[in-house]
Amino acid sequence: MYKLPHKFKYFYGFILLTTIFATAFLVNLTGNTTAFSGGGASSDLAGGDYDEIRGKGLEAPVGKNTIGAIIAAFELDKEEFFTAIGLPLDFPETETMVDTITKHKMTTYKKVNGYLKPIKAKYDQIRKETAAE
Amino acid sequence: MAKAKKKWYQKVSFYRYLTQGIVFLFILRFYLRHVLYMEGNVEEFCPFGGLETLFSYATTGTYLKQTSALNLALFGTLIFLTLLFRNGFCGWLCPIGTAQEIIRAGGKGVGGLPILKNINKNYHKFLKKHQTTLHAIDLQARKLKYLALFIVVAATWFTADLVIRDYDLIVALIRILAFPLTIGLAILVLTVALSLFMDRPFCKYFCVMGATINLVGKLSPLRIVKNEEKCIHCSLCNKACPMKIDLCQSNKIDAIDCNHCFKCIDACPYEDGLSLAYLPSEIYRLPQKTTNERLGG
Repeated sequence: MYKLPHKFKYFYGFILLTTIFATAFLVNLTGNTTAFSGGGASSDLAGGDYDEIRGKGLEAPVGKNTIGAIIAAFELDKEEFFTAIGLPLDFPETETMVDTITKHKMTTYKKVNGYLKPIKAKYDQIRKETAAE
Repeated sequence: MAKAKKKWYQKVSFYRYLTQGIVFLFILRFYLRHVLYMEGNVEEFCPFGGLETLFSYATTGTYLKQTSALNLALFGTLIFLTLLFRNGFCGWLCPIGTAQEIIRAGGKGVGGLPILKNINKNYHKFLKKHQTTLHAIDLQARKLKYLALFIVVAATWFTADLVIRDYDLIVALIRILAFPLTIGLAILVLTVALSLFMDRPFCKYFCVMGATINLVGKLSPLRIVKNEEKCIHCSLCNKACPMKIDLCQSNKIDAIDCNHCFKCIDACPYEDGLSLAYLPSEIYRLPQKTTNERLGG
């Protein structure tokens, strides 16, 4: 049996805390998380807002809908949206967002969030307008 | 000799509250960002998401929806820490545990009000009268989380979807503004209500992450051990334990539910009455030296 020094109990939490925070920090550096970023909450917007989005005619998660359907549902400006996400204007609207993400090799969540930014901005605007009414 | 009354900085509780406060405020910030501004995904801080997405990541190299590398990394780190330091995450870091402790403190405060004196008295009478039955129910109910863990992990791995979401207290908290009537919301309401009357009900009965940590924690060589020579069986450690573990009857704290909050160490009136030790002989059956051997006789 190896008894730990008495003072160890005071450092116990500190060791746990720093290890966990260091892990989170290192993962954030890799760009494979949206937890710290200011982008959209996740690949189908925030889970909590999905129910509200459903009302816009999108029955599947946003990522699985075609770009055309999303543009229509959120009343986005097609040109503005395509420019924001870096797609050529003749890019087929029939592609789903998931396919688009794959084709454009958006391997990190941060890049995917950049893709979702115009939708999120539009959604926020709609929500504000609805609240104001 | 009994030690003098501890000063605030000599109590482990002070450092525990400090650690819990830091994590709680950190998560609260990201929670509010997620819920109010749709920025960031607070769910990615949940280590259990790592276990859920583990199978998908191992077989296809992709994460399940709503999970990321952060879930996986936090889960891995947590398993590593649990093997080294046992269940400290539950007692020191988990924001859900902290929230329950805050609600419990509120419940105690409200229960102590003069206007509720009679109700409180009757409540404690009821607890005392039905002690045996309630204890038996409590013991059985604690097994629920292990069953839930098995079902959730199996269902998630087989369906490659976060099937737990509608039953998840954290998701219910995130969706609170939409107020969806889900089982998760029912568990949230039940947890808040029970937390007013008892310590950490969610940890005891529902927490699947806690169940995982408990099972892994059993493999850890770290234990709280009791100095039998100093113990006077005053039961102060028993009274302090939020998980209602009977420490008095055992010389090592091996209970699966122990969350290493060290309230027992704080409560013990004797210096060196309870301490932390690796590989305690009572568990690992290491040969104990007799007094004569220790003295070289």
